[in-house]
Amino acid sequence: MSRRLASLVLGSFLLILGTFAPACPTCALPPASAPVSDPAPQDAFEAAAPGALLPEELDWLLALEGRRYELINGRLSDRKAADAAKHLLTNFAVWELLGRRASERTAVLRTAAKDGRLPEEFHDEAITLFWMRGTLISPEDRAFLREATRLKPKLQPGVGSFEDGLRNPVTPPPAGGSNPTADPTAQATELLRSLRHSLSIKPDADPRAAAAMNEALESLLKTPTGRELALEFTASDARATIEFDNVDNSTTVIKNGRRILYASGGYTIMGANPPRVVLNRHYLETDPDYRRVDMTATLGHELFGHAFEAQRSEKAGVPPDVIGYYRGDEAGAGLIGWLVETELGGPLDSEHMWSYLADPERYHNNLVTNLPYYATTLSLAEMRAPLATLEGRVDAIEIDRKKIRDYAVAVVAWRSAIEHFVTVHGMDRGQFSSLSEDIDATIIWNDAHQKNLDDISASLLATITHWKKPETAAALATLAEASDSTYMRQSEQRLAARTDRLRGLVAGRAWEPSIPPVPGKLTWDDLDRLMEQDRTETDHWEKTE
Amino acid sequence: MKLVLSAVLALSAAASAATSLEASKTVTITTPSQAVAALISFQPPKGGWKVEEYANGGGADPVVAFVDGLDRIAVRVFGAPGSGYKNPASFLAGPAASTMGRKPEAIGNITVAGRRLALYKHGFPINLGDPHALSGPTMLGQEIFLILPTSGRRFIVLSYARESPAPDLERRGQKAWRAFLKTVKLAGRKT
Repeated sequence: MSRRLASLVLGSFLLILGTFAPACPTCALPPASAPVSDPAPQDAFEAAAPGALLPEELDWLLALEGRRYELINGRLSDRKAADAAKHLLTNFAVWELLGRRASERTAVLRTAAKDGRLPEEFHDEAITLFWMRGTLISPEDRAFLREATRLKPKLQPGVGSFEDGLRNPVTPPPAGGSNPTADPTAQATELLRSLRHSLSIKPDADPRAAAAMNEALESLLKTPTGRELALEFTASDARATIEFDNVDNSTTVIKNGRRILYASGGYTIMGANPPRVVLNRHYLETDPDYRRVDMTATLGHELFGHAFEAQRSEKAGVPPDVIGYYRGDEAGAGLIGWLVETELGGPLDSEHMWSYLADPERYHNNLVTNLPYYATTLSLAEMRAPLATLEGRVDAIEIDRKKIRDYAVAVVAWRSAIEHFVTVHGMDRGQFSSLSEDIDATIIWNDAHQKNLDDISASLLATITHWKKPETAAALATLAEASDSTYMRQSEQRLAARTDRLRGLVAGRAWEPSIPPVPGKLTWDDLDRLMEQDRTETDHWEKTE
Repeated sequence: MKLVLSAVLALSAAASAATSLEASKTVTITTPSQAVAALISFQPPKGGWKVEEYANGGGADPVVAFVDGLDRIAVRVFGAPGSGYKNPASFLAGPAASTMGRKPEAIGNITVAGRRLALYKHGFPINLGDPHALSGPTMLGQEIFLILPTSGRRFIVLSYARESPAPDLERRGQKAWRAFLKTVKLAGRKT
């Protein structure tokens, strides 16, 4: 048989063999268009899913080993797979590769760092590697990335350094020598001991609980805000119990490979004696780096923001019931949590924090239609006319209801514009995927918020009905009287001081998203520009003035 | 919804004495709208916009705003003692002008009250969930603003915001904003 005939026969044989070979069912599926939550290691890696890969990671993967991998329908195929049926890379395989790349890039960043600090041009990459690929690299590399990009908070007036805060001002250090009683390490140990003595930490059957609690307490005292409040707490003989417990409707989720809490971090029962601080038990399931910052911030919020304030206010003669209606109670606790998180170098990912800093009064006003609890919280001025204030808020709920519906309608209206650019102008639908996700999220938000407004309305009306009863007149009078109290005036001063401190700490920093935006997708500004151009240059749309 | 925090302003006015109004030499208790009116005049947008007034900074920073659904036109005054922002530069560098810390984008110039002023744009978070829990995807509204200096230490920020990531297809709010700006005059100045 000639060579040419032999190769024809062989080729035909292989063709026939291929016809009967099992097809790749996964390859036939459309590419993923939504992020994959909690991906199983053995499943095919969905490279097309939003946020799955950074552009530089995809380029790197496709160039590896002489272009060994290729993209097929949004998944990575190995041309050299030993088993043709298993040619698609699994999540596990891709995570290994991404971890390798992240380690290589970290090594490059190490050589660029001087005195442990990275030049500005490498900051974004370091932050991205830490938050997106931190779980795929060694603890040493992770620690390097964290330290290299952590901003050192400026010292704030009134807070000073650790040493300044603890040195006794009436006994200055002896001339020519250091004060033996001012040893920072000894003072830190003593403060932690004093704080623990003031707390009753409930033993927990989970073997991880004790270590997590210890880490949170130690981390709290590494922050200037935590130290300052711990000193006040212990000096005033305040007490609290702390425990891990279940929180309603709690769960955890995976975000960029890290398990985080998707629920409230905890709560405080201020009416208990002493106040009882509960930390969400699900924290014990979360990523250690995330827990170190987030749980510590929650502990600061609950212990110093609520448990301590309940005792401080009671000592000052302001009844606990009053505190429940004072909007500054939650704002103060919020500020403590944000300060602790910022001072620990955590990501500034709280929209609430940024909203508060931008316009505190508007933030409080918007909170009224956020949760039932906030619908009945009052400023000092409002505490003098509480019933009239709440009655005025009934309309606010209906206004918000209409506003959110109008918002959903206005956003969904852009679907037709997107459809127009895809079907008439032939643009790639994938470019609009981020905007389509926003539209879908808007519909979900509207539905959820309308139900939330039902709950808020019910709670508000119930309180109004209760306050109209003659037997509550004395309680309302107490509320009005408390608004003029020394405790309340000092509380407002503390709020102002903490706001100024936080504003100073975040200066020069920006919000860091939990999930970064996907490069290459159109933004709302892009779509608006497309629309303007189309309106001007074509007759596709009715003319507007 | 109208918020009148005149009592809060009264407390701070007692503390800041004669500096609460630059045009006045005596201690005067004012509402936020009175404090704003002493520095600037304007015609409210037509067509049933609701008025809000309040003050931040213990009363030092009065705000008058007009709201219609998702659209909001606001007049904010800063620079008095106790203000959150001492001067325009600190405002531009601060949270109120930023997209959660990211600097605002300069988007051109506009003439207001006879002054040629820079226009800026930034995003702000909307539809906030429970403060204690992780929320869904971050949604940003958009705000356009300019800074109008006065003859004294105080300065005025005029802004138009839309509480939606998606622009208004009908541009109704933007038209009202442009019409509003044409009516703005600084107190005591001919423009």
